[in-house]
Amino acid sequence: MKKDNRAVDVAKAETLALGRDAFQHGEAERELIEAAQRGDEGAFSELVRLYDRSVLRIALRILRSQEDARDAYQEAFLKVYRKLDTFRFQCRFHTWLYRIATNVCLDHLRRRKARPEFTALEAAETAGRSPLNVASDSKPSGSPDRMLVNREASERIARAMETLSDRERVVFVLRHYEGMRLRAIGEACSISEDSAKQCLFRATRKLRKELHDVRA
Amino acid sequence: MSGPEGTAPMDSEILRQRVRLYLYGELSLAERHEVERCRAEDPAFRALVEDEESFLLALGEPQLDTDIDGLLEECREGLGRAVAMQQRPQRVAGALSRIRRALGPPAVAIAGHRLVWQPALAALLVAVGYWAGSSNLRTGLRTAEVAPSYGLTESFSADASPMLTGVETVRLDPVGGQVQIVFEERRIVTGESSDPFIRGMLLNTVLGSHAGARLSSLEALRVHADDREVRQTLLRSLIEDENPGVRLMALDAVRDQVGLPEVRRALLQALRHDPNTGMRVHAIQLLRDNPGRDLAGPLQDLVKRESNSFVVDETERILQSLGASMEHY
Repeated sequence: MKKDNRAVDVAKAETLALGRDAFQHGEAERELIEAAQRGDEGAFSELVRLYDRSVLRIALRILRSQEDARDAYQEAFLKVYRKLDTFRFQCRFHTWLYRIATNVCLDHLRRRKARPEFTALEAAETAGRSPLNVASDSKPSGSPDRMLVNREASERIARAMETLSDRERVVFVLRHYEGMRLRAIGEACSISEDSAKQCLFRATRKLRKELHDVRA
Repeated sequence: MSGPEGTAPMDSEILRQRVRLYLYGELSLAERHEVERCRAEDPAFRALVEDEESFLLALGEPQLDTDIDGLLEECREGLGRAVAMQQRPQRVAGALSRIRRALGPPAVAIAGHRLVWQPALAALLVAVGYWAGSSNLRTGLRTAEVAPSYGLTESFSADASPMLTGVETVRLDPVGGQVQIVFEERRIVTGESSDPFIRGMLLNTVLGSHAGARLSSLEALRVHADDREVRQTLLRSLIEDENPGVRLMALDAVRDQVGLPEVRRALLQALRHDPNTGMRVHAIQLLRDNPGRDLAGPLQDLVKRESNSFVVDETERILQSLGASMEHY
C-alpha cells in the first residue's frame, strides 16, 4: 500500500511540473463531482460553492432582477442536484452547469414576456438598483456627482440591454461579464462557436448604437 | 484605412468586429500579432482600438461581484432548504435504489442462473461468521461458551483466518457432509521486470487492478516501452484508463517513443478527447518538441475546439512552425 501511495505521489509530482493548477483543480473537481454523485451532500454543497457566485452573477446580468435571479439560482442548482447522476464527464462540469443556468434564465425571460406587469421600463429600473450596477456607487471614493453619473450610465446600459434579443443578451453577458470564450459559450448555449460570435457582434453593434456617447 | 491583414481596405464594422475579438482575447496568436503590428504602425487604427476599448469598459467591469455577497447568502440558504425538501421523500427511495443498484447484477443472475448466487451467499455467510467470531474474541466473550452450541470453534481458529480472507466459493456436499472451500491463495512473486512472467503479470495489472497497482505497474514497465506489447498496453492506458494520474504516467512512459506513428496518434487522441487539462498540456508539449507534417490536420481541427489557452497557443506555435494555416474562420 505504501508503494502504491508513493507511485501516486511520483505520478502527481511529475504532472505538477507541467500542469500543476489545472491538474489539481481538474482532479479535485472530478473527485468532488463523483462524491456528490454517490450522494455525498457535503461534496454537493462544496460544488455549489465553487460555482454559485458565478451563476448568480450571470442570472443577475441576464434577468436584471434580484427576485428572478434568486429564483433562477435555485431552479438551476435544483436541476443540477436532480440530474447530477446523469453527468458523464463528456464536457466540463462548468459548461454543463452554465448550460442549465442559461436555459433557466432564458425560460425566465420567456415567462417574463408573457407577464404583462413586467415592462421594459420596470426591468431597466430594477436593473438600476441591481447590486451589480450600483456596486461602483458604493465605493468610498465615489462623490455624489460621480454616483449620479454612474447611476444614470447604469440605467442607460440597462435600457440598451433591453434592446438585445434573449440569446444576444446571454451571449454578451457570458463573454463580456463572465469572460467565457466563445467556444465555451457556444457549448453552454447549444449553438456553434460561429453563431455565438455573430450573436456577440449583433449585441455589441446594438449596444453601440444605443450608447454611442458612452465612454469609460 | 487598411485592415490588420494590410491588403484590402476593410469595412469599418468588420474592422470593429475584429478589434472586439482582439480585445476579448478571441483571436489566434498570428491574428493578435497582426492587430498589434497595425496598432503600433497606424495611428487611425490605434484610435479605433482605443475607442472600442473605452466603449467596452464603459459597459461595466467584468466579474464585478463585491456587492452580491448578501444576496448569495440568501440564495444558499434557500437552496439548502429546497434540497432538504427534495431529500425527504427521496431518501427512502434513494436508499432502496442504491441497494437495488448494488445488488443489480447478482439479482439478474438469480433469475437465470440460480446457482451463481449461492457460492457468493455462502462466502458472505462465512465472512459474517468470521467477523462475528473475531469480534467475540475482541470483546472478551469466552468462545468456549458459544462454540459448543454451533460447533464452529475449530473453523475459526487463528491459524485458518489468513486463508479465509479470499474465499471465492463454499460448497456443501449434502451426502458426504463435506465442505469444499475455494479461496484465493496469497503469493508474493519477486523478480526483474524483464522476466517474461513478471512482465506478463504487470501487463495484466495495468489493465485490470486498482489505480495504485496500475500506477506502480506502469512505473515498472516504462523502461520497456520500446517493446511493442508493452507499448500497446501503455498506449491503451494513456487513452482508456479512468484515472488521470495513471493516464499521465502512461503518457510519460512513452515520451521517448514519440516518433512512432502509434504514439503520435495516441497523443493526438488524448489532445482531442482527454478531459484533464494536465494531460492535454503534457501531450501538446511532447508534440511541440517533436513536430511533423502529420500533426498539421489534427492540430488545425484541435485549435478550433480547445478551450485551454496554453494548449491553444502551443498548438498555434506548432502550426506556425509547420507553415500551416490556423483555419480559424
